[in-house]
Amino acid sequence: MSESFKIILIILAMLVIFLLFEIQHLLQSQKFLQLKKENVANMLREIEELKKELNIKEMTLTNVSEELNKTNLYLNLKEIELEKLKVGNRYELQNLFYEDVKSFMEESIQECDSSNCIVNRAKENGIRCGYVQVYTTREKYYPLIRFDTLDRGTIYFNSLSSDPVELSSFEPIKNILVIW
Amino acid sequence: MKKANRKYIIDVCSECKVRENDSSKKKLFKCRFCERYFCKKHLAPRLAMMRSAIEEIKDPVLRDKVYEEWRKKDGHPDWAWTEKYFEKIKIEEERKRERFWEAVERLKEISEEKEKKEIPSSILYTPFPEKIEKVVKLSFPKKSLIILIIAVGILLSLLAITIHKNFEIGNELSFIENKLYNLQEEKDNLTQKSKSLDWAINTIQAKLNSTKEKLGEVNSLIQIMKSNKKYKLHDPTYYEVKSFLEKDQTDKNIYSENYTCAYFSRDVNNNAEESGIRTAFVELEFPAGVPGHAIIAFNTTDKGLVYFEPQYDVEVRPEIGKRYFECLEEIPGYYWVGPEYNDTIVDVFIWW
Repeated sequence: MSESFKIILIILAMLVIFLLFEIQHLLQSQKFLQLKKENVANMLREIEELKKELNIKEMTLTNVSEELNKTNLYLNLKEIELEKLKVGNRYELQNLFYEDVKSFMEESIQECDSSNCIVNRAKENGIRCGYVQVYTTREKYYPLIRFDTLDRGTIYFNSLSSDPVELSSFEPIKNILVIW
Repeated sequence: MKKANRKYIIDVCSECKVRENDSSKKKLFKCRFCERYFCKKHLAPRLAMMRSAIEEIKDPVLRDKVYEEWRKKDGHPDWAWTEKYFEKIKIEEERKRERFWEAVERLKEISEEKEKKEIPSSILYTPFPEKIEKVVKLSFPKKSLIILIIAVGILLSLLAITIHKNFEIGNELSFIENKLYNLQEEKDNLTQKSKSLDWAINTIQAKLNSTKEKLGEVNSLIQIMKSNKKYKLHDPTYYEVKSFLEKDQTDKNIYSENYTCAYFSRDVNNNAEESGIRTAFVELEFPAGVPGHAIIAFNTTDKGLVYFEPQYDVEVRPEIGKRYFECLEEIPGYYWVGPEYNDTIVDVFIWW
């Protein structure tokens, strides 16, 4: 066997090894590529589903926002209606809720320094209230203001605080006069 | 340049006329062997001999070679060239034969010398390297070498294809990985957006629920307010006041320690307001140490603010600095006696 023949055989063997190696690499790459393609397909599917989900969510958001706007609008109208219902004047008095009375008292103690002023102010604003004289002796009495609230019943205030006072704090009470 | 210098004539080509029945005149060139004129197509010379003559050639290699030459389509049969062709073949054959016999002779000599003394085989080739190479070529397994070369060629091609394919897959892989990365980014963005939307929906839903709750509360407050009793009052006329006081029986009550002026005033005030007449409870302040006095008042539509003493239903015109009993309206046949205490009016407080 000649040298050239041997060299050619060696080259051939090397080529075969190299080819086998390349083929193995090719097969692995193909598998990997297939896997990646599957990943891409899955990813695309997931993205598609996410997009659908987003569309639904956006629609839901739009609907909820619209409903909220409508409800807010309706609430505003109702609040205006309620405020109108609360409004009275000296010729049309009515009992109010505790919170309304409380806020009225908070404003009034800033402006008035006597129960006389507060009572007249309440009646000017259509709020029904009574001037109360709590007698602890025959002649001595404490002037209070009485409101009959719609939610908490009768409450009393003095002219100094916006917090209600308890009648029991004036014990012993001899008599109580309520002048509406 | 050669073609440009070549001499030609315009005439009918004999070969065209005989073989293709073409009698048209065209450029004819002179054949350098037979010196006849032919067109470009038939200018080349070919063998001018019968098939039977070729069949008679014994050497099969030579016969095939002559046949191959004889089968040429174009050109013209040329006796002069045919003669030269065979002469050339004859010379070549003789040379081959001589070379062959020379090689045989040398092989004989070498084998004889080898028998006489052991000469290394490598020396055998040294005296006639060129000649021996040709002999070796003849004895070498030529087919195997060709097969090997073809195999190497095929392997190289396969290798090239595989490498190319690997390269393509690599490219595709990098493209797909890039795409996958972009898709992942897009997916992350969408997921983020989805979360934001969830948050927004939940927030707005919570707001909506709270608003609905508030709306429910406001509606119930409205219902309460609508069912709430309204105390409608009006400022009376003077005549209306007088009529009311006449009807009202509070003045029939008897003053005592437990039923003082304040009680009289309270009862008349509350009774009047129950009847829809806007009434004021009035406190008159006397000098220090002296208890005050309570009366009532009406803001009449015709006579303005009028005061009344509820114990007697008598009109009063209180003036600060004046004694209270002097402010009472006179009743015909009666007169008012002032009290022992100082009832001078110091201040007037009206409670509507």
